[in-house]
Amino acid sequence: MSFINPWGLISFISIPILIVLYILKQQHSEHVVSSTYLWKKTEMFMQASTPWQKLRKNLLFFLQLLMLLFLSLAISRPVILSEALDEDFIVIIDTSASMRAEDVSPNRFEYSKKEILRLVNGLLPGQKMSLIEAGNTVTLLVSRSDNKQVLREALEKLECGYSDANIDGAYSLADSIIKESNTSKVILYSDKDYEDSGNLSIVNVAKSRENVAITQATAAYVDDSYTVMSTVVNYGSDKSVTLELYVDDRLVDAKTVLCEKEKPVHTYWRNISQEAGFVKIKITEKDVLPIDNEAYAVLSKNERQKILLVSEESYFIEKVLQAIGNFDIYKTTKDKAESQKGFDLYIYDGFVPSSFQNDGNVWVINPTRSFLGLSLGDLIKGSALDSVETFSGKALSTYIDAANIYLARFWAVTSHNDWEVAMKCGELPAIVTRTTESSQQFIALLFNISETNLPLLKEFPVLVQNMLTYTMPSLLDGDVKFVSGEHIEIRALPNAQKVEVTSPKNVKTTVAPPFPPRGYEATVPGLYHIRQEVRRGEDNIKVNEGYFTVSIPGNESALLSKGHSLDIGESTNQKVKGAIELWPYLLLLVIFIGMTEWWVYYRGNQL
Amino acid sequence: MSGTLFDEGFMSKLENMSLHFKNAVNSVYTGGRRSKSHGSTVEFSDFREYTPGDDYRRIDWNAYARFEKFFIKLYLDEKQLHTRILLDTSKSMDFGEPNKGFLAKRLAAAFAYMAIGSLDRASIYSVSEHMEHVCSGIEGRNAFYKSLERLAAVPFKGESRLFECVKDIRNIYRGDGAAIIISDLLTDSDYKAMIDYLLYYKQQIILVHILSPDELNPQYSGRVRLLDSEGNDYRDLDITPRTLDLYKRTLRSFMDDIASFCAKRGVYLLQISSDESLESILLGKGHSLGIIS
Repeated sequence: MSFINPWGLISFISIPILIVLYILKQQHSEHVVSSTYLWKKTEMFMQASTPWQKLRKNLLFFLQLLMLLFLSLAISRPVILSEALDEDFIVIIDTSASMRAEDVSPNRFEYSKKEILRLVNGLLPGQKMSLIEAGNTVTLLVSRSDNKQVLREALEKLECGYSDANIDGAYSLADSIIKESNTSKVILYSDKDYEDSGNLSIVNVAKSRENVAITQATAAYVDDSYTVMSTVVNYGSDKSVTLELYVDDRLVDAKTVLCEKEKPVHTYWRNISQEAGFVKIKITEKDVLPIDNEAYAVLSKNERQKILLVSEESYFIEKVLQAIGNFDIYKTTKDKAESQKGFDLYIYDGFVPSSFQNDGNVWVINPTRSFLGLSLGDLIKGSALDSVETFSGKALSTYIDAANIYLARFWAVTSHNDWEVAMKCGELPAIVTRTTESSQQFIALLFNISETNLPLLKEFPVLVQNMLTYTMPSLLDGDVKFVSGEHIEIRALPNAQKVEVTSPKNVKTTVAPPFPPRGYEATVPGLYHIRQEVRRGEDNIKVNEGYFTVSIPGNESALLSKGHSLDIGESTNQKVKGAIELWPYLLLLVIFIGMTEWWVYYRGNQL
Repeated sequence: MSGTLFDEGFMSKLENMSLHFKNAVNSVYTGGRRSKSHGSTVEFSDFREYTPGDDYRRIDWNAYARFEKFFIKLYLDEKQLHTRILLDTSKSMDFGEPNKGFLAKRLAAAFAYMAIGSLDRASIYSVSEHMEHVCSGIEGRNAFYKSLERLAAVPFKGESRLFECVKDIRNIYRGDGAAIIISDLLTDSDYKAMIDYLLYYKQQIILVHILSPDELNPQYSGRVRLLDSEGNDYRDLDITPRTLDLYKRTLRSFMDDIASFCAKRGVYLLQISSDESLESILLGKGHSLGIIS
């Protein structure tokens, strides 16, 4: 047993004080009697008739002594530690979306916080606790502190997230703390099925997995209208649920579907107006995790983007763009190219204009001369491409294997100031990118597509799509989905003046200026609105609007998803259940003894 | 002192009182009480045949004329009774309002006076830790009056050791006698053994058990320390109505035990309170008991 408030032991001084008071109180009024012979017999008679009578006055004293003893103990706040919690320890709290489940009151996260608060209150003097938040990112909230106020405040400020939990990262952090200090205990509050191992103790706060979730909501533009599909998964026992469809926040339909355990149910709604901006699908029945009962799908605007293609020989590019679709492609010749304006994307193939328009992004394929700081040498023999670990390199090589692409010839670059290499051939750049101060983006392919094997490869349309994604602001185009906690790169349109994002909770965040826009961290699931003001001409400001959706990770809806095996530190097979404070029990005992003392006193006076 | 023990009026009442014992006495001294032996009084008792050695002067010639046998005429003998008054002079007797000791001394004097009035001898002993002769063998009123002063001067002190002291009485085995014990019996000493001892020596016993009103009906309350007047003993008690009730039950049991014992042994018992008058004790309780007439 240990004491949280050892200073309270000073109150034990009241016990000798009581004894002294009792001794002083033992004054009797003295009377001389002829003989105590009969009184002795009376005393014996009293003891015979009420055996405890002799002890009665002493009994009162002992009861009062016990009351003081227990009261002093209660003031000292004794705790019983269930096995080795008298050392420093680390608490990891899972802040993933599933911790919002309300199968325990008020929810798993708040329940865990309460439990941790009990641990904080039970900290012994000098005992230190570290607090780690395991959410999308791992945060060391408090490092080895014995300051209960600091720990309480950190807990109070802590909020549950909407993403999954990086438990591994939290473990790595805990492991490093263990190595640096004498801490050897780690307690994880989570709802995942991890197993105790080594110095790790798991407090699983999950009780139920009765949850129905909308795991997917998508919209496709088919025959001049949209078709919306939702996927519902029931992780609990079989039940029917009602799905409501809202178009631009207006309820338009409701369907009841039978959901068998863990079998995805797909539901379709057709002929949704092409004028609509978004749809919302909602499960009306309540379950333990409400946040996955709604899902949004963004309907892309009917505004098609315009591409100017200046080429005389790039048959391949044109075909791929047509295959991808959703664009208005305009073709022109080199001599008319310089006067064309008002396009979202300018593609110059085998031609470099004397000046570039600044209202759209630019692709230059097979440049014939140096431009914008990109100095070209001679055409040299090429080989296989190799992607580069730059931002644009990663963006353009998504889903493709650059090593499959062979170049017959390419332009040897002598200098490429301000240009970022996305792919290279040997040691020389083959594909480069550039973003100007006015957010205008350039991609330069330093080879003739017809002198490569690209048209024969499946990588070709993928590469073109990647290039479109990179240079066309994808957030305003199409069904854009993100998972909570994901870092969203927002690209400003060329000549954008202001970029603003409004969250589902109606919080507006200006992500630009300054340009380029900083990334956006979308956490709350729901529909986000993005708004860009783009200068078109001297006084013409065009507003581009769109939506993107954020949902919780799919595995969070499963509620009892299996965690993987965790191991940390040396295995000692120790269990931690926490400290039990004894003062409430001691106070109850004091009250009981007080009542007994009163009863004995009252009964004694009656006799 | 004699004036304080008795007033003249009561002395005159005592003149008319005498002590009575149910058994005849057997004493070496000639006195005023009928003896079991035949003596030389004029009171005829019986006849018996003459045997050689008898006083021929006592032959009844009338009977010889009638029966032609010598018959001796027998007459009653009168013997003197020795009344021993054992006065408990322990410190516990000097207690109470009115004082138990004072009444005890008056009673002792009264019994002695009645005894010598019946031509008996009376002795008064003080009994506490040791036994002392206050006045021994009082015969005649002059001797009595002299002894009153000594009796009045007897102090009350020490503990009461009745049995141990009674064993010290000398010549108790010489013939029958009477013992009057005046005590509060608030002692660990075995008064029953004392009585048995006296009975063994053919003593007729009157036991005067005297208690004060404070002892019969104590008025204490709350936490008290009761100091024993005879020694250093004390009792710390929380006096409640229940405690007083228990005391009275203890006292009743104690007195009943004495009465029961005395009844079994043929001992006259006078249980009195010190606030009773001497007249009411002797003429009331003593008379009704048949020991005083």
